[in-house]
Amino acid sequence: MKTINLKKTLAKYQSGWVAINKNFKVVGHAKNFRTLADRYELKHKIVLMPASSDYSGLVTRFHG
Amino acid sequence: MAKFPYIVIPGKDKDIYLPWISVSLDYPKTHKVTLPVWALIDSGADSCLCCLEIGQWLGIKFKKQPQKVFTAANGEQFSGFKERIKMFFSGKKYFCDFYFSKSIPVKSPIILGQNGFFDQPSLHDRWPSRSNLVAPPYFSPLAFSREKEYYRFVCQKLLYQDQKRRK
Repeated sequence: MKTINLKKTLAKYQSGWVAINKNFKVVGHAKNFRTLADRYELKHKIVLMPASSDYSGLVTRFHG
Repeated sequence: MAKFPYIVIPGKDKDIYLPWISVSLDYPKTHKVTLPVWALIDSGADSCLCCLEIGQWLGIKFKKQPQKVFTAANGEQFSGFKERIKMFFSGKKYFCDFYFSKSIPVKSPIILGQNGFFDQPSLHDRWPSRSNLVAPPYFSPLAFSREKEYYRFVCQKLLYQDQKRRK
């Protein structure tokens, strides 16, 4: 199964949140989730994700 | 076995491959539904976690919610507010207990863990075994066309049942 490469797509964005369309292109950027979420509706068919210059270093083990 | 595309994103030294799926969260009390957001499938997490920012947008009143203390991989403790959320992915909806916390890293705002995601009874028939589970099968990372996805899901499920029957 092919991977979805967002490396080039996210290269310009170092912080905040981005909106990505079905062609995996950034169509919107905002500093926080609220701003971006209020700007779009479900019909726009986008996916929101946080922008970061470096996504590495995330170690998750949440025991509760 | 579960199959789904990894998302390749930039890392410090090399590219990062993450099992991300897009989910929409619906808070029934306010009827607010988020747009699809990438969520990390994390079998190492005991519960489903979400950043406080998304919870605030959903209109959750956090002062009234029960809290639970979690321990992260580095031993640090943090608390999360519990709330029952309706989650949409792959054209289906599931009720799930989420813990909202400020301590959830922004890089991964939604974490789908064991309790609430992996233990969904309605999902159990969609994967062969929980013991070797990485992620749910028949999954499309983007919930753009729900009808199309549902059709694909049904086709794959029928195929899976057929393969199981042959074994």
